[in-house]
Parts: sequence; structure tokens; C-alpha cells
Amino acid sequence: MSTAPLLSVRDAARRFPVRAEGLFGARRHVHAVDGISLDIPAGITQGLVGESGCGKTTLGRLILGMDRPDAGEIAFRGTPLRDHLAADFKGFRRTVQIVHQNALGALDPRRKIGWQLAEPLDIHGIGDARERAERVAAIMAAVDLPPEVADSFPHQLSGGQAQRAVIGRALITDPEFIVCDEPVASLDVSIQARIISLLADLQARLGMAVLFISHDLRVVKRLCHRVAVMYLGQIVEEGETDDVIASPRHPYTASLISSVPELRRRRSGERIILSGDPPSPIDPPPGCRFRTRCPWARPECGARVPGLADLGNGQKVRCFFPLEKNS
Amino acid sequence: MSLLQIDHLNVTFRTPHGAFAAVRDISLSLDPGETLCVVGESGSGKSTVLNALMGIIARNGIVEAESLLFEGRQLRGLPERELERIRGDRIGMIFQNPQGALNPVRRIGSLIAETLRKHRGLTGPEARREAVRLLEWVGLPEPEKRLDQYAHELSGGMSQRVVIALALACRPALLLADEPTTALDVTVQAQILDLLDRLKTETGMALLLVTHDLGVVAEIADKVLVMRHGAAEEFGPVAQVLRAPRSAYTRELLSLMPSLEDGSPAAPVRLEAVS
Repeated sequence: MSTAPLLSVRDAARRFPVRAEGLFGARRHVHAVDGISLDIPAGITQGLVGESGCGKTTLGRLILGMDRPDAGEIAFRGTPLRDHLAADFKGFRRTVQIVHQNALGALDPRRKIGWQLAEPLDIHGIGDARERAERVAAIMAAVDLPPEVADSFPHQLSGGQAQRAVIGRALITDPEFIVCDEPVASLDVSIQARIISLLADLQARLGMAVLFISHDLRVVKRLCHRVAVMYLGQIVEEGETDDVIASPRHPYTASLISSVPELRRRRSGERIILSGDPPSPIDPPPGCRFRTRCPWARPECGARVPGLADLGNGQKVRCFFPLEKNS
Repeated sequence: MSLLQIDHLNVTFRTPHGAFAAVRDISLSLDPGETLCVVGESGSGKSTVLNALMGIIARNGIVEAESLLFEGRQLRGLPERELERIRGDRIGMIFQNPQGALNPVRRIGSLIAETLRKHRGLTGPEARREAVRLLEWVGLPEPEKRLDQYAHELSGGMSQRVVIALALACRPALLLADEPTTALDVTVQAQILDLLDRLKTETGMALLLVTHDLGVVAEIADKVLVMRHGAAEEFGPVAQVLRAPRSAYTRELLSLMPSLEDGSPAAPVRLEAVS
């Protein structure tokens, strides 16, 4: 019996060069992912939230092996990702799959849906023609696509159907882990709600682990067992979703939560309104990165970089002065 | 008398596949200082209502209404030149994509100056002073510096503030806003909603805001119009529509809204730890 997490990210960093200012300007970098550590156990849905440019998609790409970290290590089942990729790229891709935000863009416009669902089975040499047809029919039923959709082209599908097809295609090889990057961000609320329940249901039934990348805490609350909150390339808070939302300990998480428009709340003075925009990830502020927008920042916050400290209940926070626990 | 009174508005587009009724028999009214949210899913016709009011419907569209009364004037059938005076002067508009609403090849200062010259006859240093005052008013940091910048040098939130400043340059009585925070991050969305609420209180203008997010409606609306397939499902005060909706469709939308509050449906099933 091994207690190793299914996926483990250790001090991962990824930076991208940006064009220097002027001919002799120093070369500068965007620190998209800057020292991230995260363990994802088998069979859970891990949420990853943050605003535009915080690095959440880059982290997803690193985990998928679509990009390599400049520092740190990512391991799947205890073996470094680069070994998996070098030894058996196809096998790894069969185990770790992706669902994109733009479902129509992820489907081949010239192929029928049935063909596209069967393609992964073909690539990985799973089953004979009859078995493949059976699996396609089964996965279409699992994602609630009517059988006649198999003979449709992507442009004939609604947005919700296209997203179901993409989810089905990701799941048809029985992956142990899938990365979903904003899979419901562009959908209307009624379709979004159905896709979310579908994902929750599939995850509970099939038991794969899911990394769910989103900017919407409300969706994460519905779907994810655990959540990690990113700000400027770093994780600032992590824990059980219910704990983090009921009692955010990092000021940024608290402000994110209080910014979410809620049905049963009128605008009130209690809301935390941050000033300004997130600073540029090219030159993040020294010390705590959030202090330039933090309503509770103190002079000490600029002196050192806070680490991600465990508060006891598995909730971790990157702040020198974490907020009190809500009772 | 209402500031705005729309009676039986219909918008039909002629298409190669026949006529398409994008807006069907919509009526609403709005008083000064009120916020009315038009809410619905993609294709429900909510933006078309705004565009019809602004007179910016595509050429193949036919706008019919029993009346489109604004400040007691009938907008229906008004010549384009008259309409142009009311747009900008009395009715301002802001859009979903603020960067797209700002001319990319002109500096922010020159964009604001144009509006001030056209609608308020201000020029030179006077216009510049007023531009700085407007940018300060909408909470843009370092307003002097912004005048010499281009839209691409600003973030999405800052651009939306500039667009709001432009719309408010003439102190309109009515501000139309089409999904003004949809393209923004949630912390910036909170800033902009806060700003719109403050400006409304300070000027007494009315706000007609199109959104797909019932959470936004709950936060700032006084009245709500729920639309579906071009028609009104429900129109009424926000408390009534959100707490005691009459239409089954509104009830469904409300039940599907994800929420941070406890007791929201479809909570994840907790699995036993896998060892």
C-alpha cells in the first residue's frame, strides 16, 4: 500500500521570456508559475482558482506534460513526468487526459462525433471494431449524448453537446486523471449546471482524479473536494473547499469570496473591494505578492516572502498574518 | 412620469431563412435613479432591447413599438440627427468589451476631448481639466498620465473606467450598460459594480443593465426584466422576482445558479480516502 499522491508537484516554476524594453534592455521574464507545490490524491476533484494571468493554465499544462517546468519536479504515481513521457508518451496520454474550455475548437470540424470519440481507442489500440463501437455507445450514454449525435458534425451540436462530446472523448480511454481547463466558462447557466452535475456524477462513478481549473469560485464550490487559490504564480491558500470558503484565511481568498455576486446578498459595506489590478507578473512586488492590494498589509509584509504554512486542519495559507477563523 | 417608457417593442430581423423575431412585445418603464437589469441567456434578445433603444440595430432589423418615450419625447421615428443628439447627451452607453469600445489609435485624452467638444463645447485647457476630473471621478489612478496613453496600455478594468467616464462626460439621465463586467475578473467586477452604484447615487441617473448573471442582478437591481426567446418572462421589483418568481423559467434559472452559500444543490460527493 502506498500513500503517495497520484500527482505531486514540487516547487515547480515556469517562466517565459518577454521582449526587453529597448535594444539594450535587460531580458525579463514572466514568472507564470513560481514555486508551486501541490499533491493531488487519487479519486478527488481538486479545484484551482485565480484571476486572469495568475498562472493556473500554465500549471495545468505542466501537469499534462504539454510544457516542461524550468525548475522543480512533477511526478505521477511517484515517477517523474519526464520519465513517463520519455518511456511511454502514448501510455501516459491515455492515463492523463484534458478537457478544454473551447469545446468546438477542440473538435475536428470535418469528422463526425462518433469517429472522434472512437479515435483515442484507435490510437491506443484498444479493442476491435465491435468493442470500440460498444465503448463509443457506452460513453455517449454516460455523457448524455443521444445516439444520433454520433453521425453529426461538430457545427451541428449545441455548445453543451460539444462539451459533452469533448468530455466523453477524454474519458473513453479510462484515464486516472483529467485536467479540465475552464470547461464551463463560456456556457449559459442552465447548460453549465448540467455539465457540472455530469462531471460530478462521472467523477464519483468512475473515480478518476480531476484538476478543475476555473476563475469561478461558485462552480468550484459545487464540484471540488479541495481547492487551491493562485495569485501571481503562487498558491496563496489551499484546503478542503468547504473549509476555505467558510473560513478563508488569506486576505486574497477572502476578497475573492466577497467579490462573488450572490443572490441573497445586497451590496453592503462588509464587502472587501480591492484597489487596482493585480500587479504585472513580470516584476512581482518583493515580499508578499498580494501586499500591494491587501487591505491589511503591514510594513513587514514587504521584507520577506511568506511561506505556505499549514494551519492544522490541512488548510494552508501563504500569509504572515492570516485572518481569524470564522466561527 | 417615467424617465423611460417602452411599450410593446418588437424587433424583427430579415434573414435569408425568413424573418426572425429577436424581441417580442417587450414593455418596461424606468424612473430616474433606478437600476433595471435585463437578464437572460445567450440569444434571449436582451442586448437587442438596448440596441433598439439606442437606435443601433443592424440594417436588416425592423424596430416597431407602440411607444419609446424618453424624458417625455417619442424616440420612435425620430430622425437620425435628432437621435444622435440624445445619444451621448442624455443617454450614455457602455459595452462588454471596453477595449473594443476605445479607438486604439488615439490617446485617451483625445477621445475624451472629442466628446467634451462635441457635446459640451469645451476645448483646450478647459477640456483637459474636465477630462482629468472625469477620470478622477471614475477612480482611475494617475489620471494626468492616462490622458497620454492608448487603450492597449490600460488593463480591462481601467479601460472600462475610461469608457464609463466617456459615457458620463455629458451627465446623461440614462446609462445603458451591456454586460459591463462580464469580461472582467471578479475582483475588478466588484470594483466596477461599486463604481456604477456610486455614480448613480451621485448623479441621480437611471441605469439599464444587461447581464446573464443573476448574482449581479441581486447586487444592484431595483427592477428586473427576465427574457427568454425574445419575450418577457417576468418584469417586477428585484425582491419579488428573485424571492417569489412568478415564472417557472425564472425559478429554474434561480435554482441553477451556482452559489457559495451552503445548501446549494449538487454538492460534491465525498469519497473515502484512497489508500
